[in-house]
Amino acid sequence: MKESTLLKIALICSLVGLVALYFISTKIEIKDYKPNILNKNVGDDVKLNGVVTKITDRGSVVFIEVNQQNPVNVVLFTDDDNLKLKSGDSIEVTGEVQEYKGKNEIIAQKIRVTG
Amino acid sequence: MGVVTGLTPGLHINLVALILLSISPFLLGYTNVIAVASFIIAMSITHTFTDFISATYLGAPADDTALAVLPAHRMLLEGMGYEAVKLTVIGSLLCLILTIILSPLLIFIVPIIFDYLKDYIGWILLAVVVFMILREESINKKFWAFAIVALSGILGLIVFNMPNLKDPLLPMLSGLFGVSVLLLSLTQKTSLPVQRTTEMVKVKAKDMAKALSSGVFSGSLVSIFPGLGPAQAAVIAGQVVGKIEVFAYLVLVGGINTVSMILSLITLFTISKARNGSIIVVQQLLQNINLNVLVLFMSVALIAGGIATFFTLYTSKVFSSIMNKLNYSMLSIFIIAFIGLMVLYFSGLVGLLILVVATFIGLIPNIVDVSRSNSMACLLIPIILVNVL
Repeated sequence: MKESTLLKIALICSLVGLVALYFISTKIEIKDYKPNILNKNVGDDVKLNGVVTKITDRGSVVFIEVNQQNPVNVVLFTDDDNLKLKSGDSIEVTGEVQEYKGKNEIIAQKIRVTG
Repeated sequence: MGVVTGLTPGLHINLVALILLSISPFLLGYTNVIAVASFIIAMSITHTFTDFISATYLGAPADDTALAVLPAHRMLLEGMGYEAVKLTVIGSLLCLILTIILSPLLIFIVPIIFDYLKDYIGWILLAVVVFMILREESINKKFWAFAIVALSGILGLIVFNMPNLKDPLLPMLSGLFGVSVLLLSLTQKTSLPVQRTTEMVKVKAKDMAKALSSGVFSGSLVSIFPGLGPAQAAVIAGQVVGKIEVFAYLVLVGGINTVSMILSLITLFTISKARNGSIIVVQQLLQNINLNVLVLFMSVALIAGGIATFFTLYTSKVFSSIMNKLNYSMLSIFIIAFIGLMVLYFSGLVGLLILVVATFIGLIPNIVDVSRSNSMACLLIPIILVNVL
């Protein structure tokens, strides 16, 4: 096969593939976190809406307690020294459910202040 | 344990460290917290020695070994796979010793550099990307370098923002630097020569000094700056050090991740910041560390580095002797299938699609004859956007 043909195929497939990946990423829905289903969703990415009731900042790890039906522990690994988050803020957390010492907690990937 | 994580594509040291953290309450029933933390340090240091084996022989790189794949694979095709691994081991071991010797000085320097440069890391990386494009010889090559940076950067942005995707680096880096190289070898009907295991590998003293000093410098960057990984540091080091022979380059790339692991301990001690998964776990276990614990961890790292040197060289010899008995085309097909299965297992069907797209992008640098390191934009562009915007 000529190199120019190979280059065209590689370029077209790269572009088509990138577009396909982009559309797939927009179509994947993140389910809402259901705290009553203990250990069922460990490893899943979930979305959680609630009000911050407690923040414990330990440098590069921040522990956030979010009030829902029951308090949910959210763990945020961050290098941001100026984290603008305080008790009473309404937030939307996107992250992965992990089990720690028999309890579910969410390892946050993204936190958005909603009110 | 570090040998297992280093040899298994997709099994990242951070994952094992997190598993250890989750079972630490159980472990602490039998031993103390310092012992668990020492185990994590020893495992992490060993991993930085052994992970070049899978990059060299299987073409399955992690973020810290991606830039070593091409020169290491080229050496494998010349019967020098063992030498390639040996050079990365030399880099790891010498950089480990050098960093420990320099640690009293680094304890004072790290906080000063961190304060001075912490707001500019995005701009520094942007300058590196622009330089990577401009250093290509002709206008035509500059255009293709830009195209590769753009395609890889967009791929990185999509992959890192993909919900529910586990191990995003495995399909992306394996496609860009692993499967694409193996596919090209297949189309060129490459055959694998007998692998030799020479005892002596010669590197020019001047190039060795350049490689070790820039290895320590760029490894330090990783431990100082948040979000900067060994891969980005290797790109910066490649630009800083200029042209060096391929042997010295492998020494450089081999040393960076070991340096960054040691410097991460110093960063934890000096500015209480954890810069990688293993150190976060150590921090979770110990909160902060004092000078005595730092010295203990450095001793553990030195012992682990010494043992890892023998393990890595022995394992590499075993791989070389196996390679001698195999048909290279069949081996390439087998490795591509193996990587595909690993990606399917760890990252699912979406991961497989990422692998395919990344492979097509990874083919382009070779076809248009520009540097493959431009594909590292998949990691650089997301960090630049986070830090600059």
